Amino acid sequence: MHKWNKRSRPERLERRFEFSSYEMTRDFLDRLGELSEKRKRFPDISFGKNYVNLTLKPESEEKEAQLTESDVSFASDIDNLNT
Amino acid sequence: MTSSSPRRNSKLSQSSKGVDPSAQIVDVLSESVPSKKVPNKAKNSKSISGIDGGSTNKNSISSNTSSFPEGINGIALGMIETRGLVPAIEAADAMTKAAEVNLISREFVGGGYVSVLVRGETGAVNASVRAGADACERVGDGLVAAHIIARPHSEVEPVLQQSTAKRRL
Repeated sequence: MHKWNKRSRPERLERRFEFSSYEMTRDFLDRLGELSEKRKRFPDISFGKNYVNLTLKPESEEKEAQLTESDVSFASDIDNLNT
Repeated sequence: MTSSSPRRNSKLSQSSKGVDPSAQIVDVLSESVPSKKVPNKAKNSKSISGIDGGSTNKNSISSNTSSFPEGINGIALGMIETRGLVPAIEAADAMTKAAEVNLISREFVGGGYVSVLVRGETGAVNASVRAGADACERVGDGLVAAHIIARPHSEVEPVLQQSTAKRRL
């Protein structure tokens, strides 16, 4: 969780994962996809051959929504995908 | 005696309505990739908005966002940028085959880069973009970048309208 950067305006969590090959990147994305389907939470994803950038926004769609424990928990689950 | 071929009459009728028929040749991929899920209503609204480009954007935005093809809902946006047209076409084909998504645009952004955009439910767009990235990695110079926005802001909608860029022959 400490590797996530908390940003504001709007409040969100951001993290970059780097991999040594495209195959590893894809494997991570597949695991992330399964987790997202299971938790019904879909972060914004940006990826290339060797990296994945994730942006986790609050579940609430309100304009000034704040991050909650649920968001932090999901971020931790994503961290566990990379272990 | 005037010629009365169906194609000419069709073009004349389009011209009389203020629509430039040549500007409707806009998108290689939406023409070539079978998008059986797209009803004619959605196609016409997209081409008209692309031609007009400005004043009717708001009307076309509401019509585009409210006229998703039958069976394909969702506002998530998936984008893949490739180096070259061949991997872009391969990516578009893979994306539309992998999940229930709507191919909304193909853009030549200069320097040989091509971007392909899809929309649909978030899970479908996720799977679709992953499949598209795999496909274009196997072809040509491959993937430049891929991006998925789960909930694009409504202010982004005008940017997603099909451009009036003509196909380069």
